[in-house]
Amino acid sequence: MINHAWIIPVLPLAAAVIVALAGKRGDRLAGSISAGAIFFSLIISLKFFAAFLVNPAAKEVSWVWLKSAGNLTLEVGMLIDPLTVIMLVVVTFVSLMVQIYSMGYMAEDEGKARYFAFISLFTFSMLGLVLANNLVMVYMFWELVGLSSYLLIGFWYHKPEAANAGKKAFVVTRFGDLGFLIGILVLGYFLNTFNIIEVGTAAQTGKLTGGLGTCVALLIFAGAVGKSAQFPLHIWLPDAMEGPTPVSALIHAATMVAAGVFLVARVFPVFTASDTAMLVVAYVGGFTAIFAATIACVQDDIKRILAYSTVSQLGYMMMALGCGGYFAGVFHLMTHAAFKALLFLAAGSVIHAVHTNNIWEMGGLIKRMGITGTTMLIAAVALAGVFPFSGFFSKDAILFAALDAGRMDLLVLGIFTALLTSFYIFRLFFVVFTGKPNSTQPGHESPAVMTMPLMTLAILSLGLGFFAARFEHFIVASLGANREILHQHNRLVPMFAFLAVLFGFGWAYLVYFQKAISATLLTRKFSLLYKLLKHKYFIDEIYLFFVRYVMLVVSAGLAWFDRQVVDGAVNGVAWLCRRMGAGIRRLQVGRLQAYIFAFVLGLIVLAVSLLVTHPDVMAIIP
Amino acid sequence: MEQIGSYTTIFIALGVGVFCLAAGIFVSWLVRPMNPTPLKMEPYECGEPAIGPARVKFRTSFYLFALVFVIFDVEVVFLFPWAVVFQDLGLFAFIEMVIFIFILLLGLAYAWRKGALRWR
Amino acid sequence: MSNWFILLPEIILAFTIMLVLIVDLISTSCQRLWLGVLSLVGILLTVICLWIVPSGAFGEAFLNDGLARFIKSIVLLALLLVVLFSWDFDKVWGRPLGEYLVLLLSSGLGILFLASGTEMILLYIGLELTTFPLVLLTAYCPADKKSAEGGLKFLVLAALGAAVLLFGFSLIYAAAGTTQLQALVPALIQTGNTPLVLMGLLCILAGLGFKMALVPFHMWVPDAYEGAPTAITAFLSVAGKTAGFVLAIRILATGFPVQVSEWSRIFAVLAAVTMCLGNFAAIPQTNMKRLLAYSSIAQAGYIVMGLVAFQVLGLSSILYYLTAYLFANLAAFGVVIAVERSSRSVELSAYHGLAMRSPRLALIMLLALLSLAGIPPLAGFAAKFYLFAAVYSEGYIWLVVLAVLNSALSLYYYLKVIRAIYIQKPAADAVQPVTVPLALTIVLVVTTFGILALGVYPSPIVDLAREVVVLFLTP
Repeated sequence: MINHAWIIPVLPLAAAVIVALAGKRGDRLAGSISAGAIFFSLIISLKFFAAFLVNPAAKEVSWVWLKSAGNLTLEVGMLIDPLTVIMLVVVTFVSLMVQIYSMGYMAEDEGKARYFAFISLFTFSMLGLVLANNLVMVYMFWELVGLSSYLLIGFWYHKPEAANAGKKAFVVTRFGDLGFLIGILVLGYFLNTFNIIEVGTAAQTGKLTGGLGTCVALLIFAGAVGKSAQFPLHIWLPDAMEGPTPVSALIHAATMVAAGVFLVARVFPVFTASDTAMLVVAYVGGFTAIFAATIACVQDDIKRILAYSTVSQLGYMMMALGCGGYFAGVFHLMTHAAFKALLFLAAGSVIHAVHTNNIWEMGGLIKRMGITGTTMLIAAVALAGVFPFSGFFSKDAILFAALDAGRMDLLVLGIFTALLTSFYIFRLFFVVFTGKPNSTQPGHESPAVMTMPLMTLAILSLGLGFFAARFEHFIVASLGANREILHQHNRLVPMFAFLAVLFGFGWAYLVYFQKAISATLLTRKFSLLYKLLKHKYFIDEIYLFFVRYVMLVVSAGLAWFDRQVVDGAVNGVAWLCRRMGAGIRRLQVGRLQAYIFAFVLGLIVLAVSLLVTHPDVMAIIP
Repeated sequence: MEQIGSYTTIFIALGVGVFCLAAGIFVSWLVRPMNPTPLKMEPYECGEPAIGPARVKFRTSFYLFALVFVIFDVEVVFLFPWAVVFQDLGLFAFIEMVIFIFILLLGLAYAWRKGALRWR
Repeated sequence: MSNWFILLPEIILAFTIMLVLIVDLISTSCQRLWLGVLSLVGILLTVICLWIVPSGAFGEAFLNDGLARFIKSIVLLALLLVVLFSWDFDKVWGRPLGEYLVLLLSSGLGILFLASGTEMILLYIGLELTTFPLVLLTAYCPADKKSAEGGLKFLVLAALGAAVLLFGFSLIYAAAGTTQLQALVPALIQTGNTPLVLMGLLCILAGLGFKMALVPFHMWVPDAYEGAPTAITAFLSVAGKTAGFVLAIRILATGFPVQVSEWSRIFAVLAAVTMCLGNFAAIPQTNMKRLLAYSSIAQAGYIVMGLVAFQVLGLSSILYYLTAYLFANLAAFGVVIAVERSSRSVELSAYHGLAMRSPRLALIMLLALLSLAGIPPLAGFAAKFYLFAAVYSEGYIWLVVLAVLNSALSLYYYLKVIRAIYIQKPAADAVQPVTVPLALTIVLVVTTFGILALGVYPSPIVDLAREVVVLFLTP
């Protein structure tokens, strides 16, 4: 059975190729082809999922791709374990929902065929990444994910913001990718293998310790920081909303940003082998969580709020992984995929109806867009982490992980983030869906092809949490060894978390629903803080300043060096090559006699050289 | 060791040969009188005067005929020894020879059909 | 005598040749379709038969082993694709198709004997059977001055090369008293490396160098490649080269394994000189056929490194490289032929803006050239990877460094072509898309598939090559 797993990524790839080759002619069928392919991928993924529920032992198939003279082998292969099947199902499912939704959302777009080809390519890359059994393949698909995200974010390339956002996503993640690549190469150099299982075994048997282990883990983490938009490389994600909204849903929920978290989970033994690395992961995650949550509280753009929410939630996952909460991180990735996809698709539905991103230009939409509003509410509640919605269970698991690891500071930070999360998401909900309807906006419910995915995702956001215990055994089986699952069943933690959520909700309710507290008064009172948050801690500005002034001076010098010395050298080499070529060309005079002369001369030179290198033969000749 | 001896003889013979040749030319150059007249500078002092370039074009048909002749030539070269021991070789060799002659005939037929045997 | 069955593939091909000749003699010109069909069927039957007949020897001169089978498959594939290249040769070039096919198939038959020969006289006959039809084909369009010139130069140098090779054979025979390659080994151990043996070996190396187009025995290549009809150039560059390498492997591995230190050193130097000269000389070329000719010289320089690393790895990488090279080079020549048909030109200027006119052809050319340059994930990358790894593991690090630098250098002129195709604007009168006939399309599809498949998943061919070479090296 495992031998057939390759069909899962190949189906969307085939769809991408077909749709791309058909071009404009296939405009009408493009969506159906892509969605159909991903539908079958989903079916196969579910079959795998069912099979692994019965027997969660990891399975691997691989073929040799290149074998060097040494014993370093590059393979093409698939590694399937519970983590993989969960990711397969999540990716194919979210992708299917997004594609069905897109058929409605993109119905009138000129480049429909191109859009679906890119989406299928994107899905293919992510599925390949998930299935890969060695880090070189992971890296190749990793880059493919980056490439297709660039294509999709900049899909409306005629809009300069979109083109810039695509570029930004590509360039910023590139910083992390470089670290990842170096990490892979260092790993390959020292362990002589790229195979994930072998790397894991090596890490567990203590071959990756001390400075080397920490160094490798942190380099790989750099890649994850870039892709999963962790501080300080988070700046690309909010801008990525310039792409079509369904793409944002895909990027934020299942494909691009999940790749980083998935990577850390995939080579988890490498991280657990180094306490320092775990500490860095946990604190980078924790800091990102609260940092992004504060920014999300003051944004006006509906997609921007959700984007910062994603950054924050990814920080949560990283924090869980850093605390050793493997299950918590992966499970939150799963639940988050469901409700975040839902949030984005619902937001897209709203934007589709009112043609604006600014939440202040919306209002009272619940009356006109019942399904969108209700599903959005479910997602919001799930995100806030209210029992019995799925977010509650995964957030709880994360907080327990922090508790298990004995990091009280992270626990407090997590609870405070929960408060902020609850606040900003209900703020969004109240402003958009309640209050006075904004009469200038038409606002109507979206067609069924768009609301169906919303409802499906809403059911999942609601119900996924109940299987937490079942998933826990399943997911932890990926780690191989029969790990004991231990919990300090501390009642206080969920209690505090719930109180935080309630507080956040109440705050949003008072300010934005009851209007008991004036929002403008608050902003005036804390104007400095407000400004700081509004400008996202000026991170972009700091980078820009750095790029513009510091880098400019350095780069001016470098540019001079580059232009004068490097280019000179390169051009010199090229010039030399051309001259050599022209010179050698002259040897080919075209006269037959010269050719024969060259032939015989070559023979004589060889004969003489043979005689010179064989003094014993020379001795024979008197 | 034996080889050294044999090579030495060859080289000595070579040296002597070259020396004799060079010595002859040198001596005749040394002792000859130098008294050229235009008549003496002609390639041949008697017979036909040389007119036109030394390279003469032949009709390519000569080559074609020569090639076709080679076909039969080769045929005969093989047929003779075969005929001598025909009794001993038996049927297998006979079939082989038939195939061989067939191939040669094919060559001849080709040349004929393409007009190589026609003098133009 | 009883196991003549082993010769069956060769017999079938020879029979096909005669049949084509007969059909050509009796048919009128409008039935020429049959000639091509007949050739294709004959080649296919030969291929099938090749994999059916058992391994074994026919007398002491002919051996059908895995190596022979591998090489013959490559050559027959090349033959098949070149026949498809020349499907309407008579229409395009105005020269008869029948003799053309007969000569082409004869040359292929010669290579089959080269791949199997284990005796010097048979190898020599095979070489002549390979070379002289190619000479005729090079000069097949005498109205074209370049064709006549290339044919004449090829003829004289081929005669010289064959004479030198034959001289080497005769010297070796004088020393060892046998022409049978296996019997040479004990005989030459007895005589030791006398000047006679060394001089004989040297002459053989020169003759092989001519066939493989190694510097300084390469001078005929640019002129012959440029003058020959393009389909023949493609055959010369692929099958001709394969013939040279299999001849070298046969003679040197079977006959001269003891003298390996002598010839591997010579080949190391020749490889270095060849790849440098080929790449440098390709840079200023503006004629596609000449450019590809120099590129093929450079490629020969790389492949010869496999002979330097004369082990299982080295030889099997030669086989793999030849396979990858076949697909890439035939794809490139296929595009050259297509462009030549529409614009009557093989100059680089005819390719300006090809991407806009015929994006598919442009893409195939891109893939072919990048594969020749050795860019992953195309066939050429895996081939270079294995080859360089083999040479590296044999300790010739300077040669590997040089080869890698040369690969970078070769990008210069490959990218020059790609630049012409993708960036430069087409001439005002060349705006029509290039039409590609069906036969050519088949070749382009097959070769493109080969470039991609061999690059993405090289293992089957690599394993096969390794298995074949292991069997070959362990008697």
